[in-house]
Amino acid sequence: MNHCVLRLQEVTLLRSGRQVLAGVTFDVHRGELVALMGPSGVGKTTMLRVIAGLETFQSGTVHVEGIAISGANGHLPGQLRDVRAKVGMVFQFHHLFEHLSVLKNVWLAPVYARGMPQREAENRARALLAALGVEHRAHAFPRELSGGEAQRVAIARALAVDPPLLLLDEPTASLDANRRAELRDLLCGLTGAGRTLVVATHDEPFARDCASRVLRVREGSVFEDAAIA
Amino acid sequence: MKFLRSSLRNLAVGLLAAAFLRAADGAAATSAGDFRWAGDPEGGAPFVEADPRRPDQVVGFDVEIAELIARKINRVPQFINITFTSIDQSIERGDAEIGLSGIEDTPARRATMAPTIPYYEFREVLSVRNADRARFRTLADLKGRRVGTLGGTIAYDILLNAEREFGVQPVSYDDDVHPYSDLVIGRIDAVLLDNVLAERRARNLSGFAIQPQSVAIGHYVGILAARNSALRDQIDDILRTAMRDGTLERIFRKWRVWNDDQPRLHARLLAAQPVAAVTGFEASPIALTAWQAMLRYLPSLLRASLVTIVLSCLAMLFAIVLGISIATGRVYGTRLMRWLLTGYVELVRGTPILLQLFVLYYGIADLIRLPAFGAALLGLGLNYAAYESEIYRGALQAVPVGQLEAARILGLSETRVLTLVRGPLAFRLALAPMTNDFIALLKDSSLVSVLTVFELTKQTQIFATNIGSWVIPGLLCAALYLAMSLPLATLARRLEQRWRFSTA
Repeated sequence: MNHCVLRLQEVTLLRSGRQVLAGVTFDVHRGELVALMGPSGVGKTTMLRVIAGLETFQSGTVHVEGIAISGANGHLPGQLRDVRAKVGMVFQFHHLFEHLSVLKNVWLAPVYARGMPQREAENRARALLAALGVEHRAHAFPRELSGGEAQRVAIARALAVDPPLLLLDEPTASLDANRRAELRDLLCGLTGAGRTLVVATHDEPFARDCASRVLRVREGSVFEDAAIA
Repeated sequence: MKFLRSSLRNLAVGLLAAAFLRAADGAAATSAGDFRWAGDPEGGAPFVEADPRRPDQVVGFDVEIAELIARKINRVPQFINITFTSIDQSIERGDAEIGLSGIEDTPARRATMAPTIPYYEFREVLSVRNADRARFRTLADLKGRRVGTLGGTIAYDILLNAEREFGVQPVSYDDDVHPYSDLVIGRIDAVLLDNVLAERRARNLSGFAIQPQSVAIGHYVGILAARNSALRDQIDDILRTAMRDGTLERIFRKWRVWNDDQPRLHARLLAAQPVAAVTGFEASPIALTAWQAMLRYLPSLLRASLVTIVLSCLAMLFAIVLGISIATGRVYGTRLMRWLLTGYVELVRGTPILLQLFVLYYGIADLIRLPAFGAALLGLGLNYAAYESEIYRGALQAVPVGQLEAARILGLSETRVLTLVRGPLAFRLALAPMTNDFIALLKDSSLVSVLTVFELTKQTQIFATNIGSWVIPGLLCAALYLAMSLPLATLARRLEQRWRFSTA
């Protein structure tokens, strides 16, 4: 078996007395592309947010590359920093920094979170944008981008800090059929390079096309774990 | 039902009519037998001051002269409280029939109003700190020195003259108390004011001396509107009688301002000899055309505008820096820090800025002696920082949480999230209300004239007093304020357009 990048054990999250996550348990291994499948409102996005350290939870444990966040003692700033260094996330609505150009959106974190020299970070950012086919938009502002362009920039921004684990929330929501095929190729390319991906989606054909494993989610827990042949 | 409604209507109409009739009746009762006279109790004794024993009553020699006149014309004196610098305009408007408050006889007043005969002669005298008694004897000795006086008076005109002639620096005050306290603590080097005021201050403030040589001689008069010359003539007769029968002497002796100058003045008046408004100083030519007046005052108005714009810009800069710190402390700080900062904001917002300026400049002068411009800058900055901080706090909290999460997940520290993402986004949201505040500050900066800072509104007020009209000075002043605020508003609008972003 490959190296285990992500492990959730009995993660339970209550929000205003309602159980949003009810004992979620699953593992993800290096190079896998795991799809969290299910209709809206079953807890897929919340699972991604828990993994990214954006949500506190009541009980259970999340391990990312061996670093544990526990629901019992809350999140400690040090733990969060360590986990975030391992995780990248592409939000459904991208959340690109509205006041910065595309290029700066991408090189900001390498320089200010990882201490990379700015020139090097800029070159890497340009290369990433080129690889994703949006280098011609380097000097545009997020409000000037189409949905597909914004998504690619958001992926480039997440990849710029080189996280072993990349989370994507509903990546096909704003894409037409051609763009969806491009995205599939792109994500397959990423797993081929040894990166691990967890994608929350309710797009069945997309999941069948590109995931190596599908986890079906219902009422805050995983009820089916099926590898795709 | 219909009957009830109509009787209710009748009742309402009846009550309204009764209230109206009573109000009209009341107005008639106050105007018929009353002799309305205007003065400024802030000027204090011996002219007009609030009675220390019954603060709702006024006392002073001007009060007794008003009572004397009212008695002789069989009317009841009614005191109207008017700011000293507005008495002329107020009389012109008809708020009161006569102004009596140590008002100076000037060629301008003689030309535009109906002043009474002078009832008191005063000397413009220099006061200096005891140590300077030998070196500062005359205005000519005060080259390059700051000399204080009350704005809009003959003394102020004399100082403007001395500025051209000897290079003294005139400092204009809104009252006649603070020039002397500022003299004693060294903020200014001399005070030029009426001997009556100087002697009064010398009785309860030590540390300064009055130079014996007088700079000019002037007179106090009552002022009436030009259309009221018949009443003025009647009052002149009453004043002459009071000079003849010793009533005036008795009043002035009671207030300890009787001296040898007075019987000489009275004798000249009773012998129908002319008395010049001012002696020892060539008063500025009067009856300028609108154009001449504008040309003459425009340079000083422009200079005053420069003070206004520099002061406003620096104060706003200070307010922004401090406001950002306060807002950041209130969003990110510990409970104690949040509590302290909230206290500061509420204290500053809940008290008048004028009070804060007074406390900063005069109130704490014994502890920290701030220069006038510094105190004005600090006062406006501290005050506006409270308002700015509320804008920034709201803006920080309005930054979409998705932007913050995106920054956090990239591994940026909270400080970096604030400086690279949250702060710049909040600044864009805050821009419109900030522009609004800056324009408000531009106008609030006129309040600092109480700290002797000579800005646009103060200069306009002096301009208006000198020419006896607010029309041209008011228009010029408005044009200058607009010239400062409009470009700013335009710039802010452009920036807003450039920075407009979706918050989805």
